[in-house]
Amino acid sequence: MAQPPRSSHASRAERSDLLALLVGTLVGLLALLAAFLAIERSFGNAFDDLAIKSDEVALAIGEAVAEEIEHAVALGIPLDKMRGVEPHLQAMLAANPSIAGIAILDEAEDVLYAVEPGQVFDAATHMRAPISVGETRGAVLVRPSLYVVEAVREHILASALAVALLAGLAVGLALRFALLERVDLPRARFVAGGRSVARGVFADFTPPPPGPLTPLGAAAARLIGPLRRSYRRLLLVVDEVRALDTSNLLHGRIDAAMRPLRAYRFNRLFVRRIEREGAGLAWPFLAMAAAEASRPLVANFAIDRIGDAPLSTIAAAGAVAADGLGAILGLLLALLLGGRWSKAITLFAMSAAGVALGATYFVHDAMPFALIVFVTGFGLWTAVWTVLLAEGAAARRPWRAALVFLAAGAAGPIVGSLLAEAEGRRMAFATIGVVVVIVGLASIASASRTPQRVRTRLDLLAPSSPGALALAEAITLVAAAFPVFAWADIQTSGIAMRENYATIGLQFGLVGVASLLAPALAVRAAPAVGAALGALALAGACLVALPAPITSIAVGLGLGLTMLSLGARAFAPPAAMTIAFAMVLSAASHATTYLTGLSSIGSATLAAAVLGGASLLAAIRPAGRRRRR
Amino acid sequence: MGRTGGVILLSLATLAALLAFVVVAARVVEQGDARLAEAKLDFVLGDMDETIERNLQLGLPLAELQQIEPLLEEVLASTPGLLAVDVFSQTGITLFSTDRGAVGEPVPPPWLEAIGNRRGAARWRATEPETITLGGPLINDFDQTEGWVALIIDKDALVLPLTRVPTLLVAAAPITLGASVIAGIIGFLVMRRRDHDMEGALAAISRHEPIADPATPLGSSSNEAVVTALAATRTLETAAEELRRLDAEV
Repeated sequence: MAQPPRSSHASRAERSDLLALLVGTLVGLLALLAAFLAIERSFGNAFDDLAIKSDEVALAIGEAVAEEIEHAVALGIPLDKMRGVEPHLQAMLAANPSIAGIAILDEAEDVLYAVEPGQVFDAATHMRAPISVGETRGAVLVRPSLYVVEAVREHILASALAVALLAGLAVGLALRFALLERVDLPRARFVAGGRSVARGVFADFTPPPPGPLTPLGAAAARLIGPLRRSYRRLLLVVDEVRALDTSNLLHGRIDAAMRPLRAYRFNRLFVRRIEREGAGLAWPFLAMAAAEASRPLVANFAIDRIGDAPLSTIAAAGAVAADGLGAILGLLLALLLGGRWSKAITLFAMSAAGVALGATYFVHDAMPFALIVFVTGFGLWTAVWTVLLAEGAAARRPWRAALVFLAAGAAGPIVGSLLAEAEGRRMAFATIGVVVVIVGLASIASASRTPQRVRTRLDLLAPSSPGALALAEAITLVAAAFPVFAWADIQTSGIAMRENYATIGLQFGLVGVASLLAPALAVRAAPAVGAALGALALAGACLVALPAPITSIAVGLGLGLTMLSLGARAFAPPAAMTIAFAMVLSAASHATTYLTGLSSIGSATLAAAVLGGASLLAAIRPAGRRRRR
Repeated sequence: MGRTGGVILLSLATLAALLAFVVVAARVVEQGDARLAEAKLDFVLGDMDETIERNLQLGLPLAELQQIEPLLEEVLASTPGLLAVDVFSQTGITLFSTDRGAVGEPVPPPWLEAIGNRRGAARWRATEPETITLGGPLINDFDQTEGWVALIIDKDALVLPLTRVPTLLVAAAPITLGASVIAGIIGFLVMRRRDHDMEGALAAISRHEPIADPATPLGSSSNEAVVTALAATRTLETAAEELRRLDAEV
């Protein structure tokens, strides 16, 4: 008799999780190392060029100052008796970030006027413009600030980190999905088939898909096939004997011979599963990634549509809220349509979203931009959910929805930010719009054709739906998702890192990767733990200026923990709607700062604390009153 | 996913990521180039603004400040890449220009559009097919905008996009390709064709011999399947023998 196994997981998916995590990390580190090497080895000349140009700017400013001084000296004012020089230099320094210090020296190289006290003026660090009126009377020394060189370095380093994160993420996710579909699930099915055989069922099982289990499938077929053939031959012999035994004398002996075989089933029909592998995943992933790509730019762009500082709060909040509301209404429309006219709907909705995104290139005001964001969210969520709601696509395989939402949420913003870094925000929006239209056209090929038996799928939002959330769970999910939007979409994109798109993308990427860590490492905790972690992270950022990467990781991890605790329901329509509601709530929290005068992160911290408290209260309610699932 | 798939995935992903990085980084450097070129012009613009505003403090209307014209000529002569310098009124009519034919003419609509879209910023920038125009306001003593100064720059004088991308892509090619190869090697080493338990299960099923110590459900179920299949084979053989005997009897 076979001994029981030491490991009880049929699929051994936990090994694949770790392998994907390991390989993703290795590739990310390798890409980071290579990017740093490229910066050091290949970008040296570029940085030198920029430094030389910075010197030239400083020298041009020095020469202009020298010219002014020369005019004054030519009028007879002695160089050392000029009035108001230092305030003038101070104003010049404030108006020109290209220079960090400026001084006027006399013939003996003594400092007469300077706006950089204590600085040693020398030729190595300063650009020199001589003051000559017939003869040399002195010199203007200007120290270049090199702020452009430093900003370029900073942006390139952030881009390197973002790209490395993206590479690791892409490899880890692709590997995880491939292992799941090609190894883990076929392995689990093979184990189930083996157990059926052990119970005496010699069915014509579906062979494993091409991959490492193919030889096993072939061996199993060689094990089972001859038995099934022998049995069929035996039945022929039985028929033959029965046909010849006209007096029925041998019937008893035939039955006795065949009786031991009743313990087995050789002729069981087995319906082979034929699925379109991958088709249900790639399209929604691309569509969602494109939708997420514009997220880091939304608040960032909206704020610059209004010059008035207090109103910029409303502009950013309006755009983020429009995104969330568009998503909610898009999901509702998809549910109403119930997957009908799938191709037409996805094509139309994606095209509308793509055109809206492209139109951003020409938009200069906050209101039209908010409308554009609304149409984008509405179109993309309508299209994606129309496909995900197609019969069997997400319902039977929730990990696909998980992969679509979490992976797209991590990868899309990095791509969008890098696009903005490379070609500016307007062009980035336009590029994303073009990609969305192309993905929309691709929907003609890959969106579901499955005829729908129901008129609408609003039943998926009903309390009796398998994906429904109890009130306590919904509060907890809002509490866990709120810090993500308040931190990434509002604070990072709209306030703290407005000029550095690569860094914004990096923070979004960290949030996304951290949200994937909980499922990858199978770290399980009560749902309220995730919400509490998010609230604590916001409080840390607000009160003790917690470093941005730590805050990003903490809020992402919080959301991942809560979603993991909800299982497949975290990726069903009610949860999606709850998460989009959290986005609207984060915009509302930001908008209140217009009235309260609080900082955005302060307002978000308070709101997160209230939501976290509510989720904790919901968690400690008597177990009997909780909805059981 | 087998070894080939692993090698292709890892090396292609690393290659694509590093290519994307070099392109983005090169564009960042190009933007730095452009910012520095603009910083110089920005200073010229600020300096000119200040000089004209000093003259406005004398109380004369902008249109009557005749000393502006030589100032514009001087700036044009001393600043490389500059095509023209204009001063225009709030209504968009050119008052002074180094291009004599432009005086009295309305300024191009993109300038007014850029002024309308500057969202609180003092400076504005208008891009036209062949030129870039940088502008700044002329403010009088009462904080009222009297008009605007505009520097019309040859687009080629500022850095053209994609001037650094090819050079930097070539310079970084050895590192990019090297990293892709290393990633491919990692893929080769990490991705095994079959796991140990798969090998064991394959051996058990192929040889019809149960594994001694199945550590995983795959091994265990394979063992059970093999044991059952062997039992079923024996049962079938016994039944077949008996039926052959009966067949011979009839």
